[in-house]
Amino acid sequence: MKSAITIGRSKESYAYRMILPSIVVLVLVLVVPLFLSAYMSFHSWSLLGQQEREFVGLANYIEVFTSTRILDSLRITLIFVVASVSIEFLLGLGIALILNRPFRGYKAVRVVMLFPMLISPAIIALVWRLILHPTRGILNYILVSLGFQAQVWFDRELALVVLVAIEIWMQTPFIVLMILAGLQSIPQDLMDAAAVDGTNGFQRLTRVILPIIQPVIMVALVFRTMFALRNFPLPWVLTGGGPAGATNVFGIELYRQAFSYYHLGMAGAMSWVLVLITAVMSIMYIRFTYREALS
Amino acid sequence: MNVGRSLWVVFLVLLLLPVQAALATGQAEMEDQEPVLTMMFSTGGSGRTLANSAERFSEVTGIEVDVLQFPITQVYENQALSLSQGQPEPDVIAVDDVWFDAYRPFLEPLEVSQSVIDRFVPSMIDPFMDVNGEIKGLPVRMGGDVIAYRTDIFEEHGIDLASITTWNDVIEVAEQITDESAGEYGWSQGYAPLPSTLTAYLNFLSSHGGQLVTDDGSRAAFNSPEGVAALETMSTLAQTAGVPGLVNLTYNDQVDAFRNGTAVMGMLWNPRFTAINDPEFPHSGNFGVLPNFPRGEGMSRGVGRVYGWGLAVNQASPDKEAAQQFVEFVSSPEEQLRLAAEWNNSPTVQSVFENPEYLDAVPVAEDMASAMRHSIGRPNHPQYSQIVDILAVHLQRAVTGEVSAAEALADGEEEVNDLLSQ
Repeated sequence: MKSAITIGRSKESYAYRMILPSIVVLVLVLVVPLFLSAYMSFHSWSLLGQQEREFVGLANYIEVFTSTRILDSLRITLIFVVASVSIEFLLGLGIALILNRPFRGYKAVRVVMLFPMLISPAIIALVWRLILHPTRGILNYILVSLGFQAQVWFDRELALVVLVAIEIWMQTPFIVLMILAGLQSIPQDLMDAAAVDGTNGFQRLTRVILPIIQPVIMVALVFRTMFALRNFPLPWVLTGGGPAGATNVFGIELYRQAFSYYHLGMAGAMSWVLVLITAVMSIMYIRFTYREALS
Repeated sequence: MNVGRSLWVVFLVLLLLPVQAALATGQAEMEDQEPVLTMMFSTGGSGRTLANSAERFSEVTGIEVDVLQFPITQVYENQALSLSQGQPEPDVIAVDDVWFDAYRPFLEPLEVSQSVIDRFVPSMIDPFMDVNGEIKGLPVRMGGDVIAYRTDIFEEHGIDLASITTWNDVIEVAEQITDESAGEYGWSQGYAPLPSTLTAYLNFLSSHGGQLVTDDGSRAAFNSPEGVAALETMSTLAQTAGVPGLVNLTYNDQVDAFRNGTAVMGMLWNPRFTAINDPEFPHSGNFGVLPNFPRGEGMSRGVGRVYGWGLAVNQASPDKEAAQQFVEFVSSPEEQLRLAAEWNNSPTVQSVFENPEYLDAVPVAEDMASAMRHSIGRPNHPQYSQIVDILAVHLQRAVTGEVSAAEALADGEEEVNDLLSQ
């Protein structure tokens, strides 16, 4: 008769054998490329032109932090991330609070809210390009019909603002969805108790609701920040980084290094800088959320 | 036990014998068959034209050519990856003239006689010549930037074509025919994405006698009095008569602008002339081309740029001979004439420009040929795409009026020299 320990080990071994294929696939498609990109980032590694792959130490990383163009793209990306994620959060919270209350047709509104999130960013970019076309776009047509002046929406002053606005339109539903899920997990008796204690709506929001759903908000913000930092399809299709570099986000600059110039070493270094920035921002969010527990 | 094992071995051998025989037969059959060539090409008019030529080649020779069509950036990326990895496919390589420098180590030198080389427009074959003089590609669809205009608008304003010889004349006419209240603008040009901005500037630059980089390619040369004058001209046209949002205008947007009447004059890659003159749109039949490419002040003639597609052979292709045969077929005078007359392809062979069949099919061809008479190719430089991305941003800053032409070029020069010194 087999002992309980033997049975346990056998089950464990069976479980490992079952997940082994997935682990192999993950290692091949995730871990190997990750380490390969780190290895490349310390080399002068080009697919075209010079074929020798020389070890260059930190030269690629130094280039990332000294190149005017790359630093400019980092600055634009940070403006894009801060502006879009903060407005998405405020809007998302407001909409989620409204949608959390039952009203006539609230289920339909919740579904419609998700539509922008379901469409491919490239398609969204193409549609907005048409809407905002300076001479034939419907937005300018409406403006002119109402007696206003037509605008060139993608000029140097407005292009980044427009890009942020479209990103907000596209991604706010994600925040709404997350916060709404958090709101619906708050026990009703807790809200009733707060009401009995004489709190007003604002106090209930800041003292009860937000502290309870803080972990959900944190997850939503971490995800949105990660996605916004590496955004590529929307600005690429919408403006190609222009005009005059006004929307040249880090993702576009990285794409150019990797697929226009085939400087894989430089692209590797830029990718790791992006990973580090994402990690730092995520840690900041987590520390802020759990600051009391951590202290 | 041993008997069992032996039986298994015999069974496996018996099983493998017919498989081996089938493989051998298959291989022999494949050796007898004509090869199937593969290539990639840009979607749209270019892709359709080349696919048609491939079909005809197949009819004539029995060799099939599979033309896979992708957006231009994907063609570049896919080919670059295949070539750099030494992959045998695609057999035939589509080469935009400015890609040549990046691709040339992976391309097979073509065995072509001097008489074949001489049949092409010199500025169109030059971009495919390696540093050692070897020809590694033949031009099949190349055109030049010309000034297209609306004949009805010019007539309305009583503009005499012969009076337009300099860029200052062009500015004057562009301002004269611009009517913002009617939504008509006297200047349009494809400025997006960034490479288009630099290509646009190269036309102004060469017409003013400037050049992009020094002859040895080691330093920027555009920040010169000629370069500044060229950029000032480009900016003035954009700011005083340009279609709104000019710096975001892609080539397709420009074609649309001509078709819908927003653009009444502009610099256009001549193979797109047929697209703006499409009979389905209201202004069809009202387009012409200035027979003289404008010159900068103090220059004796205007010098535009020709650019476009050539075909080359992948060094790693197992069917190099058939691939070269295809390249020669598409670039032959007969096929170039057929493609020009039937598919509005912009020809690369000199004799086609004088052929009555072509002139009948494309009445403005004579003016186009005249405008491109002195045109030159775009510069070949190993870091061209990086120069583009740096300089085009500064050019756009000048075009939008954010900085002066001199400031833009000084900033661009510093960055480009920084790149070239690495």
